[in-house]
This record gives sequence, C-alpha cells and structure tokens, in this order.
Amino acid sequence: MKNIILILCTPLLLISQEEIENNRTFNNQLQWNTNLVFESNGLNKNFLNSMLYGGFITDSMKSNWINKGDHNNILYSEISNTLSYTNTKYNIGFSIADRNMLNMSFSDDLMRLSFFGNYNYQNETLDFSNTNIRIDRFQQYKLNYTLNFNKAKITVGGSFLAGNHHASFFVNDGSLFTASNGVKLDISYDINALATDTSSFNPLSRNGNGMALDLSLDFIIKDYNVNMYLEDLGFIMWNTKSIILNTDSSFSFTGVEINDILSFNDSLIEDYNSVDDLETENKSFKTYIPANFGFSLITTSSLEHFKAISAGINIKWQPYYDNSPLTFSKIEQGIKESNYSPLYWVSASSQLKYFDILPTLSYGGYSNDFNLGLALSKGYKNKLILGTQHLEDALSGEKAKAISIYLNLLLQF
Amino acid sequence: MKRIFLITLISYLLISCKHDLEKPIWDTNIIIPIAHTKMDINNLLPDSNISIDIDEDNFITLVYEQKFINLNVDSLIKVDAIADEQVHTLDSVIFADVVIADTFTVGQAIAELDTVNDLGFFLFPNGSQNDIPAMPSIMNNRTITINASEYFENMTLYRGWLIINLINNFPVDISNVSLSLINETNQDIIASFNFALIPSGTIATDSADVSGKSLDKNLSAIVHNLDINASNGNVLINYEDAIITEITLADIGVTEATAIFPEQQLTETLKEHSFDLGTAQIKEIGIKSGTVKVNVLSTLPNGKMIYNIPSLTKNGASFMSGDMIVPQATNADPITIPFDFEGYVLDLTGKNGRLGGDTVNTLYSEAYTYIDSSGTLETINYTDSFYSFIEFNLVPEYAIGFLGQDTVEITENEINFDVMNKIKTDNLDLDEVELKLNIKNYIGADAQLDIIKLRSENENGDFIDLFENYSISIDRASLTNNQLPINSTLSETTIDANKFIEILPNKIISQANFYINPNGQSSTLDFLYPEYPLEASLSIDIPLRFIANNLTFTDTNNVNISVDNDIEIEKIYITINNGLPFSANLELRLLDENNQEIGILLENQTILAASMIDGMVSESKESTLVLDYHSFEDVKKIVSISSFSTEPNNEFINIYSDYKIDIKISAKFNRTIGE
Repeated sequence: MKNIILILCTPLLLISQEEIENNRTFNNQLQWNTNLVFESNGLNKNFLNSMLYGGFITDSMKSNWINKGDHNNILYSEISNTLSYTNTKYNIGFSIADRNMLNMSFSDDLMRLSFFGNYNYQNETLDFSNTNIRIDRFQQYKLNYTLNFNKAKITVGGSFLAGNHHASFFVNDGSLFTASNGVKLDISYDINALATDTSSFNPLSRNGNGMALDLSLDFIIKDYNVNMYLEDLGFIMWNTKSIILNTDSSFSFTGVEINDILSFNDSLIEDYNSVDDLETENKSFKTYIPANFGFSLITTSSLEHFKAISAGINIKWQPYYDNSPLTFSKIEQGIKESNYSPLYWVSASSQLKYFDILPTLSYGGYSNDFNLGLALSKGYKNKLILGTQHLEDALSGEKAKAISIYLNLLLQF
Repeated sequence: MKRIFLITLISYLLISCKHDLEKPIWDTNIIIPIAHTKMDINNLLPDSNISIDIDEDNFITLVYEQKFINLNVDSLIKVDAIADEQVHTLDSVIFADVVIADTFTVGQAIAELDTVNDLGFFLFPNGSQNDIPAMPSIMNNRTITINASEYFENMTLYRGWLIINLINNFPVDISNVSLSLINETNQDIIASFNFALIPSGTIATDSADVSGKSLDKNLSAIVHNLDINASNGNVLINYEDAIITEITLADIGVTEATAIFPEQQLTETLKEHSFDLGTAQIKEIGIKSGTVKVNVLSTLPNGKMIYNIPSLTKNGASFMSGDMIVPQATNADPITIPFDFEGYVLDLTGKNGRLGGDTVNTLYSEAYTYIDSSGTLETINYTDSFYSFIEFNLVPEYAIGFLGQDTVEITENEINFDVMNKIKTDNLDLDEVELKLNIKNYIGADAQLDIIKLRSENENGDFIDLFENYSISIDRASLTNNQLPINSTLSETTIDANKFIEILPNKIISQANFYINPNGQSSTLDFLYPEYPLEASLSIDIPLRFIANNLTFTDTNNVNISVDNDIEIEKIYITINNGLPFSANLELRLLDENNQEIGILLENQTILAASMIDGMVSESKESTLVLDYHSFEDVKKIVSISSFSTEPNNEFINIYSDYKIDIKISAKFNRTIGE
C-alpha cells in the first residue's frame, strides 16, 4: 500500500517541483496513473511465483514461508488505472479509476495446516483466528474542488463507486486441535463470508453502488507546505443478490461411532463425508473501501543534490463489517482490520541532467518494514514518471517480499 | 525517438512479466479419526442364544438358554371328523290329507220333486210339520264336481286311501246310496261306494285303496242313486238340513306329483356322535378356530335343511344353522355351507338329560330336511333324494376332561451350540458352571419326562454325557377359578456342568420321552390349552470367573471398501484403551473373494491387559497398533484372530460389566494438493 501512498503523494511532489522549479503554471492537467502492487509482510516472491506459476512446493519452501515474517501473514495486491483531469484555473478536477484489490491476512498456523496438514501437529492447537480475505473490484468516479485562501487551500471531493465484484471471508475465531494419533479433532470456527452475485463474472457487472469522500487541507507554515488529508472514506452497498454466510460451531470429532469394529465398509466413509449443508442467504451488505488519512510536509532543500524534501505519515482505515456506528472504537477497529500499519515516509527530489530522480524511504504499510522507493521523472510540461516503491525487493530476487511498479503520464496544457 | 524508446521499454517490461499461470502442487499429511467404539464382553461374544446376567456387584454370568423339547399337544384333542351322513328319499314324504265336501239340502231335495211347477215347496213348506212320503231315486246320477287344484295338478300314488263320509242330517232315513269318484279327463273310476241304509242323523263311512291310481286336479263324484225313505209321521221340514258328502284322500304316498307343494318336513334326525379322541375323555372343548361344513346334495327342486347343535353354544346361545336352501343338484358334488365356530364352546357330554347320564367325546345334533314351498308348480318323483353329511374341523382353544394316557416320543435332537464355535484354547478352566433343566408345565395333567440322553459333543467327537435315563416328575398345572391364567408348575434340575462346557462343544444332543397322566386318571379334571404347552429348556450359567490361556476367538467379517485414488492412506492407527484383565494378541488377515489369504494387516501385535489390584481392574491400559495401509482393492473379508490370556496367570479372574475396551481408529492420509 505504500506505493499507493507514494502515488497519491506523487502529484503533490510533482506540483511541489513545479512550484519550486518553475513559476510557470498550466490551466489544464491530464494524467494517467497505472499502479501494480504485490506486497507482503513475510511471504516472498518465491511464494508468489509458486502460487501463480505453479511447480512443486517442497517442505523446505513451506518451512521458509512459514518461518518468515510475523505470526500473521499479510498479503496485499492492487492493480489500478486512473485517468484524471484537473483544471487549475477553476480548481476543479475529475478522475476515473478502475481498481482491483486483494487484501488478506492469515496466520502461520493456517499455512501449516494448508501446506503440511495436521499430521505434524498432533497434541497441538492450530489457531487460524483473524484470518481475513477481501477481494474488491470497482470503478471510482471522483470530482473535486479546491478552495484557495491566502496561505491555505482546501480540497473537497466526492466519488461515486460502481461496484463490480466483492468476495470476503472472515474467520473471527478458528482453531483445530489434533489429539495424539489423530483419535480426536477439536474444531471451532466462527466464519462469515460475503460474496456478490456469482452467476456472472463479467468484469463490468454492476453489483453495487457506493460513495466516498475526500478532504484535503494545504497550508504553509514558515517554509513548509503542510498537507492534511482524508481520502476515499467510503463504502459500497452491494445488491440483494449477494450471498451471506455465517457459521459458528465448536465440536469434537472422534469419527463415526460404530458397534462392530470389524464391520468396516464404505458406509463409514460415506457417513464421514456427509457434511451439513451450509445455510446461506441472499441479502444486501455493505463493505468499505480502504480510506487513507494522514499528513505530509514538504520544503525546499538547501542540500546540493536535493531540491525538495518531503515527509509524512499515512494511515489506512478499512473495517471488515458495517456492524457499529462511527466511534473512536470503530476508527481503531478499521485501522486494525485494514491489515495496514501506519506508514512513515520521507522523500526527496533531485534533478539530474536528463531526468529527475525521486527516492523514497518508508517504514510500515502492509509490509510493516523498511522500503526504498525510486522514481524516474522525465519532462516538465509533459512528464513521464516510472518508479517502484520496493527498489530493495527488486534487487532481492526470490526473497523479495514486494513487487511494485507505477507509471505516471502527465500532460499539461 | 526518445518517446519511441520509452514506449518500447515499457512494453517490453510489461510483456516480459507475462507468464503462464499454473496451479502449485504440494503434499500434505492429514491424520483424522475414522471411527470409535466402546466394547465390553458383549461384543466379544459371538451371536448366539447367550445373554448376560449382571449381579449387584456388576459380576457377569453368561446365560445360555435353549428350548430342547418341542412338544406338540395339538394331536391330543384334535376334532377332525365327518359325521351325520344321511340319505332321504321322497318316499318318506308325508302329504297332508286332501278333504273335499259336498252338501245336498232338504230344500234341494224338495225342488227335485217338481222342477216345473215347484209343487214340492207348496206341499212341504219350510218349517212345516209334514208326513214325508218315500221318494225313490231322489238322486239319480247326480254329479258333484271336485276341484283339487288347490292341492295338486296331478298325482300318481303308490299308496293312499279314499275315504268317504256320508252325514245324513235329513229328518228321514236314506237308502240305496251308490256313488263313484272318477277323473273327469279320462273318466277313470278311482273308487265306488254303496250304502244300503243311512238312518237320519247318522254318519256312514267307507274307504277304498287308491294305490297305483292317478288323480287329476278335476275329479267328479257321481251319485248313481239315492232313495229317501218315508217318514214315520209328521216331521219338521227344514230346508237347511242336508246330506253332507266328505271325500278324503289320506295317507298319500306319491310316485310322482306335479303340484304347488306346501312346505313340508322330509326328515328329522336327532342323534349323538362320538369323536375318536383316543384314550382322552373330553367333556368340553373351547373352540379357538374352525369350521363345521354342512355338505348337501339334493335332486329336489326346492330342498331345505336345518342343522342345530344344541350343545354348541356361544354367549349362552346354541348353534342353529337357520334355513339352508339347497338348490337342485346339477352334478354329483354336494354344496358346502360352512359355519365359523370361533369362540364357541362344545359340550361333549351328549344330549342334555340323556338316558344313562352324561357321557364324553359326544356331540348331540339335530338335522331337519324339508321340501320348501316355492309357490310354483313343481314335479317331484319318489326317486328324488336328499343326501347330507357334516364335516367338523375344530382347533381347540382348550379341552377339559381326561386327557388320556399318552406317550410322546421326542426323538434324538441336535442343538447347534454356537457359543464356542469361534473359540479355541490351550487351557480353559471355568469356575462353577451350572446346567439347569427347567420344565414349566402349563398342562392340567400329571406328566413325566424321561431323559434318555443329554450329551455335549465338540468338533473332535469328544463328548460328555450329563444325563442317561433320568426321570423327572412333573406336577399338573391349575387354572385360576376355572379360567385363565394358568398356574404353571416348575420342575428344575440342576447339575454341575464344568466338563460339559470345557470341552468347547459345538452341539448338544438330547433324546426323551414325555408321558401324560402316567398314573392314570385323576379325580381332578385335566385341562389343556394348546397355546400353553409344556416348556422344557436347558440353561447353562457360566459365571465369568475363569483362567484362560490363549483363549482364541476367530471371526470372519465381510468388508467392502472401494479404492479412492485421490486419497492415499498411509497408515491406520488403532488406539485401544483396554479395561479388561486380558492381554491380547491380534491378527488381521485379508482374504479375497475365493477366501484365499492375500495379505496380513496386523500380526503379533499385543494389547496390554488392564492393571489389577485385589482381583479388580484398577486402571485401563492404552496400546496403539499401527497398520501399514494395504490396498483393499481385492479384499472381501477380514479374518480377525484374537488370543486372550487372563492375567495374572493361574488365578481365577472375575469379569465385571463395567470392564470396557475403548477403541479409536484413525488414519494418516497423504494428499497432494493441486493435482
């Protein structure tokens, strides 16, 4: 998610550069952003390659994946494309974005169960509580307007969200205890699953509508341009064809009870395989898109190689459910359930002979780790920026925990 | 150019990332519980007639019970007979007399004097006193028409008398009376009569045999002559005074007749019938089910029969068949009219109030046959007949009386004793095995059972004889206030049977004779309810207190496990928590459909015995048996061989009902994900 923040900040940086480098301004800006991100706090590129491109996963690979990172494994991926237009004369802007997001978190124990099975964990409890998977696809149509004051400006924006598809799976509480020799399984689970209409997977199906709010405040204190923002605070209400599953159970399983131990036949297996039908209901539900809020500072630099330096903090808010009113507790819940740690970042811009470079250092985000970003910028009036938020991972080969690339094309006229 | 370079670079970067997406593959090892069960001594025993008796200390005694005499007493009082066979021919038909009368008054006689001027009425007025002169031939060939169609159309008689009565109510004597009876159609003279003098106020009678005569419905009586004698002085002239002629056809025996026959009884048979019940002398039988069939064959066009059994009653009412209309036979097969006698009581003491007092085994019945009135002309012939017989087929609910002295031979009988079929042992020492012969008698008669042989025999031919020519006296049962329930008597014989069982017999052989009333008739009436006969069973009590060394149970079970290629079972774990004071050695052998051994699933695996303190299990012990998975593709049967040895050795151990074995089966699967 760091890359998103960086992308979000990129225009700011660019604008800053503009302001710093050249007093000339244009009334119209047309911009294209492409952003591809895969990011994890522990799972590496080797894991991603195995999942995407197949191959046999050895026990050694499994152990490496499980033993890396935190107890909870966070995996985030986003592919988004945005076309935006800004009229600086009238301080109005409009953008259309196509956004695809995967956000999941699961415990090492779930990976152990999935990759090894339960045989190696006899007399142990495997805990896969707080497992969550969220997949979203939607289009965002945003309109914003900027109010200029003496030393400050306020930008407000509103978005209409056209929801295509959503699927989410939450294990609020789940565990599996395997007794010695597998004579007993203690299973408990509290699972909620939500999915939009599964009868059509057309990428542009309309299964929900939503809205989002943006609010940004820019002001200058001494030599610092300060930006405080709240972005994409919104939700999508999915239609009544959506499917909701809630199941909550706790039981101990010791196999099928039989009278004659030697009368073992397929009927036992059939009994064994009989699973109670899960009861689902078709009902509308609400989900939240990830909202960003934070602030940044930017100032000119007296350093030889850096014309400007900026720093900031970004926080995400995305609760699982719409199950309580907006309170401080709800804010805290949304931050925690976003799987995103506060991202602290510092960035600079340096002007070289043929292009500008924009290095970034950050900590936090979905990887909850240090990340080094680098973007190359070419041009002024019409600008191309190509960059990554995970330069160090690009050099780490199979050990890379994140892959990202972003492209920004800016036309000014 | 720079732009082209940039676009080319970006395109390369994007395209170079493209890779065919494929599913990853990895192996997992899963262990899951498959089945579990709790077993006690019940489960270790083979299916048989064995039951378990548990005392207050939970000590177990195995009880084997088996009927060893199946006594059929139905034959003792079987009522299955044909009775009352009768033939009734028409010559036994009794016809009512035919009576026809004619009246000749004084007035008619005076009219005859002057039929032209009626001078007679002038000379002899009614109510006057006159002297009547002689009037010869006052009747000369006077014809009296007789219409007998009320009785018959025509009739040929083989027997019969024509009787004539002349009643002279005239105030004077009559004389020289001659008359004849003739058929009008052919003028055949049936009979002629002559009377010389019939004084006033007297009756003259004469008769003639008309056997062999044929009579039409239209008859004529011709008075050939009748003289009126002169009066002796004045007499009262009353025109109503008359000479009455009565013609009666009596004692009619018909060879053939066409007539509208009135209902008339042909026969009446009141008789007793004795059933053959051997030496039994039964006074009363309650009928559980059964029928009495009245079979009748009649050549009469309109036969009818009534059959009554006064001694057969239900709710106090005697059995009466009612009218049984018997259609004219078209062939030689009689028609059958059945009557359901369920719930009836049959008194077999004979006719009520019979001469000589009550008897036994005897039924009193009444049979009546009729010619029924059909209302139409029918022709019957003296050769027509009425044939009937009665079939009794009664299943008694009970019988009361003397059941007789009977012997029921119970031939040599082998009982399959499968308790030990699957057991072999090096040594089995049972403590206090008892065999009981229980004879429960529900028959109200004294009896005796002579056991000729009671032997246990094993598959090697070794045998133990427990009884040889042993007699058991059996007391009679009694009723409760002369009705059910029956107070049975029990004769119990107990004998030590350790050796009888320790040879592990596979069969028990018995032979006996059963005597009823061995000492003759008692002063008390016997009774028998066939549903409650004599029950003779043997029970073997085996207290589970024993020493066993390699007590081996062998059992074969069918299995049907299909092969699932998606799941590979690597191992099967059998975790046994043994609460029995046996150690056990287990073998599981796999057989194909031809019962050929194709593998060993388990061999030489030992299950530890539970811990014992003071002869009681103090703690169960867990043993885990690990089986390498075998392909079950060709496996159709599993033979389990379980060898148990009591621990500690050489000490009797007690088995209690709360001793259990807890068995859990789990399996380790290998599953490759992504294939």
